[in-house]
Amino acid sequence: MNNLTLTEDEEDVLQELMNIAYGSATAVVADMLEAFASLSIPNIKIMTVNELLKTFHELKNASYFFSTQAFSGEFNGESAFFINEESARNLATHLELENREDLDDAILELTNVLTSSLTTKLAQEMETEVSFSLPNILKIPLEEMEGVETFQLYSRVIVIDTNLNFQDQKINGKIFILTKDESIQWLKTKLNTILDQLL
Amino acid sequence: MAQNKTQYDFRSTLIDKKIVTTMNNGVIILDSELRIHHYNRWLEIHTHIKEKELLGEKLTDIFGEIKEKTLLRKIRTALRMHTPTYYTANTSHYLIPIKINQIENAHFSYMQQDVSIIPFDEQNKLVALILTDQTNMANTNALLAAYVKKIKELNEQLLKEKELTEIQHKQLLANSRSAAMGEMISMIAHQWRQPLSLITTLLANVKIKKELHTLDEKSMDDSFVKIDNTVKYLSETINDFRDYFKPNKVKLEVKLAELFNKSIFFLKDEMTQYNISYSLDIDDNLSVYTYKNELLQSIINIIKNSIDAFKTNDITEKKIGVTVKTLKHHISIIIEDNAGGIEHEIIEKIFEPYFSTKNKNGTGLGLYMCRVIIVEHLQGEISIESQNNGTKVTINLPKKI
Amino acid sequence: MKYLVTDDSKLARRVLKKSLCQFVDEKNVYEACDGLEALKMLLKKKLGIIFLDLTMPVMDGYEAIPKILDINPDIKIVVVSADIQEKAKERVLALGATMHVAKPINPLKMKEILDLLKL
Repeated sequence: MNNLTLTEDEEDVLQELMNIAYGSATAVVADMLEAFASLSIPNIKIMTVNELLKTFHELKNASYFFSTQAFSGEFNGESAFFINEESARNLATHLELENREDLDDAILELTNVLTSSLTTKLAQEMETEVSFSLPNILKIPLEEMEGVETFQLYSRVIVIDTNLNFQDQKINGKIFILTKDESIQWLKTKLNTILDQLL
Repeated sequence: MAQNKTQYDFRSTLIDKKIVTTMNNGVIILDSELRIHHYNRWLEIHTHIKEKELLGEKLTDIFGEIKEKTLLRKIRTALRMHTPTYYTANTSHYLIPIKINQIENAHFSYMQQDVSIIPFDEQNKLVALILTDQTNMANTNALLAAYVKKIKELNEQLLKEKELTEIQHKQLLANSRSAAMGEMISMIAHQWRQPLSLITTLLANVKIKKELHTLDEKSMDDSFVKIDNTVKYLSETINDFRDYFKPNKVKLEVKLAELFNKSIFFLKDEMTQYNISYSLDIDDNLSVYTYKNELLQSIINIIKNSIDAFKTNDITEKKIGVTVKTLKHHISIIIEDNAGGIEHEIIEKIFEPYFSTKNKNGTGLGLYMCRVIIVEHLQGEISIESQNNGTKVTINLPKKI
Repeated sequence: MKYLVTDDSKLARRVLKKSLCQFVDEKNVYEACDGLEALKMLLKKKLGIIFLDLTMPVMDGYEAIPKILDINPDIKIVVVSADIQEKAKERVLALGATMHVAKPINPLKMKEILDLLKL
């Protein structure tokens, strides 16, 4: 279990599946926001929680909002969405929101939409189903990021990170899909099955 | 089959009916135009509106507070994604206003709700809104937030008070230095009066003799010697005061007998003036490794208090006695007088800063500073007792710091 | 008829090629991993249909489309992409692509596309 890595082929498959899932998710978000997003290529890595936290260190300086949503099923884990204050304000402007609480709600919605569509599509491609918990939002004053409970639970994580980019509206965010040990094993098996089917 | 009937009869399905009727959640079925297709019993009870009055009506017409645009967007997104969207109690508080009358631990007037918007009929564009009461959770959160805020405030207050105390302390130190300086100057003035007078007299004599042509060399030399000595004495006084009133940066082996004699030297004029007798019971070789001038200042301060007490109380045989005893690791210094003692109410406050029984000339910093010096700098203890018509001050010092 | 499959993902190319080769001869199908390679291929061979991904390094789909049409205005460009936004569709069609299809393309879908293109 400690030597969980993805082979090049497994990574290729996951990358493609993620591309498609992300394309689908972006379309939904674009629809929700009535805007056009430029698609980024998702980045896939398996790392330990410690390494992940180091990655987040850089983000903590740029981010102000941090929201999460858990999902369950054969494929389970949690998503994390980072968005900085400027983007958040632009989101609020774009949606014509009146007050601060509406903005929190919009960010939660964005998180939910991204998580739901990404994960649902992925799950679909892998012929399984997922269900979701309510999304959560945390406003991070810079220094407190390290204490965030979410990630302590997952010793080894698959980190799929993508950028959300609405250029015209200047809304950018980073979304992470994280899964833990048992799910990684399940995922590897599934990916190999798909590989066999495709080729 | 696409149907846009607003009458969608749920009560005909037995299991659904039972569950939806009895569950501890609100259930509303809406279409993409916000028209109500079902409104369950929980909601009927909580909002005092019957379902039959609502069927076909727009939810936002019934509850005007609801932001239509937001709700439409959430519903549309849920239908599009085929997965739920949400309102969370933390951020949105509630969707349907339901007044609660909680008495204890009540932070909210309205029930706090988590709402899940679940797409269940893509073709007819129907969603189910499931409302969950999260008021208890929200109350706990609010309480927690309040406590955290309180703790932050208290911390800030503590920090401010600490700062203030530090500033006050520094101020007091500065004041006491000025006061000590002032006292020193008046002591110098006092010491110099007589010698200066002597010099004036000697010079005047020489001048007169010269004018009378009775000035001989011997009497002139004599006068000059006396003047010279007096000037030396003046100079020494200045040096003494300057040296002994500077705070020490170094610890020294201090011979206590010498120290006491020095302090008496500064005060002897006054003691003579008021006829105060002084006794010192000490082992001549006794010494202490400490800050010399700080100890000297404290002793002078205490003896001066006794002298001042004698000024206001008329006692026949005025006495100040100093006894110095040696213990295992400490030296004990006892300064006693018979100047009438200190009243009980006063003695409790005697170490407080700005407390003074002397009239306008005293600054009252004396014993407060003494205690600061003895306790904090010299690492000793000081206590004061009133007995037998006199005052007894006890100072314990470690033999070495 | 010669075909070109352009995608930076090896896997995606294989999948598409597999679907395509159910209807055409494998030796008529070529591969490119980005827009630049596609152009190079175009200069070497006479291609009839290009399957083009949008998100690629070096030169992406949007940049490649007009350049492809410069070289061969008659060529048919089928954009195959994960990006299924309406606006993405509009954009590629405006640039001159023949159609925009969502990934992945299964054999059934491929038959439909090929039939449409023959018309």
